[in-house]
Amino acid sequence: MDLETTGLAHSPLFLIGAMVWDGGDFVIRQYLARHYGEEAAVTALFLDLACEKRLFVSFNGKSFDLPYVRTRAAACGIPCALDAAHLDLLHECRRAWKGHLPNCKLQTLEQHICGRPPRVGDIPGAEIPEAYHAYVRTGHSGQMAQIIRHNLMDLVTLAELLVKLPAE
Amino acid sequence: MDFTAFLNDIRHSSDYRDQIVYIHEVAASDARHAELSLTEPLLRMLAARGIGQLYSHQVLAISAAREGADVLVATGTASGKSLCFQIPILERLLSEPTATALLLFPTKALSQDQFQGLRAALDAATLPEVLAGVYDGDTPSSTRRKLRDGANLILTNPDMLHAGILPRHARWASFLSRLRLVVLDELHVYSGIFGSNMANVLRRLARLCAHYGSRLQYLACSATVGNPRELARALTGREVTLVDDDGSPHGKRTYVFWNPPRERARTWRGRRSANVEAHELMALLITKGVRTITFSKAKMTAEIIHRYVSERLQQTAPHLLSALSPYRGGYLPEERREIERKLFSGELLGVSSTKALELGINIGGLDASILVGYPGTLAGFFQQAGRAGRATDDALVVLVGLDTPVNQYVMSHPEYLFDRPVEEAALDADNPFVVTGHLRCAAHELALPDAEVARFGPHALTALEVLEKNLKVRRIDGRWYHAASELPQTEVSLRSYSDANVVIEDVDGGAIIGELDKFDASPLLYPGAIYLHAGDTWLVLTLDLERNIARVKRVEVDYYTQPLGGTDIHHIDRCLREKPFGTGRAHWGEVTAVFHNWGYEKVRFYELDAISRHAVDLPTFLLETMAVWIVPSEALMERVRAAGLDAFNGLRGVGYAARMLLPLFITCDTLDFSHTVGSINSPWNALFIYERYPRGLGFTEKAYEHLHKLLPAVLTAIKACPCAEGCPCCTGKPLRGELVWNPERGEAAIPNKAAAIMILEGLLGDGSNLEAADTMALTDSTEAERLRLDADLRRRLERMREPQVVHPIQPRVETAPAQVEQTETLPEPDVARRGDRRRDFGRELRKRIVQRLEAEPLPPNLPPPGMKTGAGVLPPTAFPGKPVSPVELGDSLAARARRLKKERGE
Repeated sequence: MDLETTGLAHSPLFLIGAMVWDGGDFVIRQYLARHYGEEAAVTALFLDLACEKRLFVSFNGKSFDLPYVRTRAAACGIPCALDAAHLDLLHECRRAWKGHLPNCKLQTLEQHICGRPPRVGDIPGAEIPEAYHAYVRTGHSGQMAQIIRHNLMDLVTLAELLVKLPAE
Repeated sequence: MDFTAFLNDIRHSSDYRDQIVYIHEVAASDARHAELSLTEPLLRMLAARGIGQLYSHQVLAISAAREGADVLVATGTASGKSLCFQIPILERLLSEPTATALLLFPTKALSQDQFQGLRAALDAATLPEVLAGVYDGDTPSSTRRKLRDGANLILTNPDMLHAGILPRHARWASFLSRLRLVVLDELHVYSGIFGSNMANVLRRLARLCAHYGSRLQYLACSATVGNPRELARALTGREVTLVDDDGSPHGKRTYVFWNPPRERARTWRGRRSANVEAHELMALLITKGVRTITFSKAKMTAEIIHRYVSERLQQTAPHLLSALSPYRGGYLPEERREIERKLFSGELLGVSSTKALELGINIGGLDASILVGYPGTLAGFFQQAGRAGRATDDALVVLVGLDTPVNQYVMSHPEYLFDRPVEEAALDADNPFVVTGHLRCAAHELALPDAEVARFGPHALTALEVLEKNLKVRRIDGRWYHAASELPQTEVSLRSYSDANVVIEDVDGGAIIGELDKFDASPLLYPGAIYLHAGDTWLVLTLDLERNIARVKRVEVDYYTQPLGGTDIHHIDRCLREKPFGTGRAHWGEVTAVFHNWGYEKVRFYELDAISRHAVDLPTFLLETMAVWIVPSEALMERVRAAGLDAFNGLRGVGYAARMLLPLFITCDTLDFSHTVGSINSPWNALFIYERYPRGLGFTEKAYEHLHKLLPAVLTAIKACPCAEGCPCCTGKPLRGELVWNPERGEAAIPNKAAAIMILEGLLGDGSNLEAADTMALTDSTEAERLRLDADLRRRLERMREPQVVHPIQPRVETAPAQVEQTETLPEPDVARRGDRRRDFGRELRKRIVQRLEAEPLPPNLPPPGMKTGAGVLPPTAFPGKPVSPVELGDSLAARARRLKKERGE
């Protein structure tokens, strides 16, 4: 799973991307709030999906994504009963490659471990909130497509990392 | 102790005869008790504190709280108000162990102090499983998490609630859903801008609690205010049960009005310094073993009095020196806690304090309280006076009069203090400027449905619409959402002061000795200033306003420094209301003032002689604030001039007197205002009275509405003053010899009493046209108000994007416009022609000299008489020693080099 939010901590979230194993293949589902009012629906749909699963995989999700979803669910008044096991790839990657790489950011790992070229035309994380506010205001989907793609690439990298991690 | 004998001694001593101008005694009152059935743990708690019976007001408050009412207890100092909320909290915890309560105290120090009391109460009632804690900026993050998840009782301050708890409400969901009681202590503090903000914070809290399904009950305590019920309603939006019949006992209280004697015949600075009087009294009381507190208005004064008393006791009773301490804002929290603890335990006999100790920190009762100058409000007066008096012991309160109009008025009319209802606290929870910030916060915390907008007052919808235009919020499907990336809570300050504190660092060792608000820093901490801290003198080496650090060095000097400079209105931004007033016009609106500290004066301790004067290079500060201004008619000005009087200085005199008397009409302090005459876009004779706080606190609008009472009173006061040509008690102090005035020190006025009286009489006319309706008010029509709000909010929001500090103007020599002016007015310089003319002139001059010499030749060029000539004067070669060649005497470098080469044989 991977989140995009509308600002600093305690601001609403607007995009939750999830990649699920549906028995035969990986399927990506992205829940996008078209405006601020749809946050509750996005969160609820994601939680419905998440409650069926037994294992979570995330990047820094233990300290960011999951607590964030929990607080937003609390703020929206949605019951949140997640009890799946949680594998946080940030910690796994640090254990495996710390010292070998300049840092353990997702995009660094993507280049060095997955061997993909640097992303072209990707939107920097810091610009995402403003871009989303602009999208809600104007309805122009230009930058929004970039954000959704950014989220998607993060998810793909996540899956790839899971495979590339050395077996323990 | 018996103060009657002490006062008699003073009355009969030759030094202090006639200085006591009035004595007011309040007889002792007995305690009134009442019965209340309490459960076993509470009885244990009371027994542990040595309380046998509750006072009648405590019983009333607790019974009302039990019935679920919102309660406000407004009784005197030390009447056991804390029990009025502690008992209901404990009862609630006993009956509903999961319940939580939020206790709000206006300062961190108070919450620490109350936490100690509450913890003791919980332990005595054997409720150790109840988790209580202080949650504020000083709480370590590990403790924060523990408190957030499991605490029953949270003690905090409004600022933390606003910026720390409400924005993270989801993490507090469990606490908020169980929240039952909200305690508001020191309710009277929430007045003015702080109160207006507080009311909105409480609105936001109530909204979130409703979201999490809890209903709040308010328990509030307040010192005496004129309108407790109204204040509580404005803050909480609820009708409260008021308990104000004090059942606690009081000892006899003696109020002494002490006026320093006139030392000089002149009226200005004719009286002995109140600081000198106060320190002598304090030293006298301390040597008699009387626990004394002195309240001064300024931090500097508190330090000076402490120093004076220490030096006096050094000679008379050195063993008492360790029992003295100063206390003021700007000390480190630990230092303040230490002083409070020592006061409480009785280790300290004397404290010289500012009003920082006025708030209800429990320092135990003292015996005597010396007030250096009237605190400005009755509530403040009784609060400071109430610091003296332990249970049923006698208490002494001495008010030392300063040489200012209000103080001398109080000295001559003591009944003013005792026969008058206490001032009313004023706040405007619906103020659009205040509401705007909180609407952003509220929308951020939880989307705001249309139905809830009315919660934030009548201007809320307009404010939201403006915010939407500025891309801060957005309305979608009948709900308002926060639509920006920043956290609005960090941009809204509850106390309207700049948040940036200047840290004071000791260069020897790098220790931080204190912190000061940025507005306070400029007049206290400038390079060269002597900063008084704990009675020691520190020399300020540098003031870095970018990084907010002042570096100081401990020095031993016999002087202190007084800043020179002041504030002036630069221009009027917008006139909001206007009306005819007497024969002139009165206005109210937004202005921009500039504040510049251009120098300082070294003043010797005790003698108060100015030693020297120095310049400092500090940036100019801008202050956007509100002002009321009066423009007398030009015809009147003409008459004043025709009478041979200085109209400009007459106006200044009126301004000074009006500013000094304002606190008698509205709850404010003389130092909340400044006055000046004229600005760049007003008539030259516009008399401004403006507030010294950013955006003002609403005082000047009240002044605008009370002008018909204020100015006639000013006229009476000036006429009644016995001086001949004006004095600090009516029109102001004499003008100094420089062009920049310091209105704070009353230097802005030449005491031109006759002109002031003539202007006032002319302005008021026959007194018929003083209460005219507004001829122009931007609040008249809803459309005009919308436009005004729109423009103002826009300006504010734009400013918010920048850092919140006031922006210093860099003084810069503007060369470009001056050049443009010159090219417009002067012809192009003709360089060739100028050369010709110079040559012509030289030729002409030579021609004339030749003609003149031909007419009468010059006398022969003889040496002046007495000068030796010819053989008497030896040539340079005639001196003994090494023969000097003519070349060596005045040769050039090249010649010397040639000679050296020749000598070396090259």
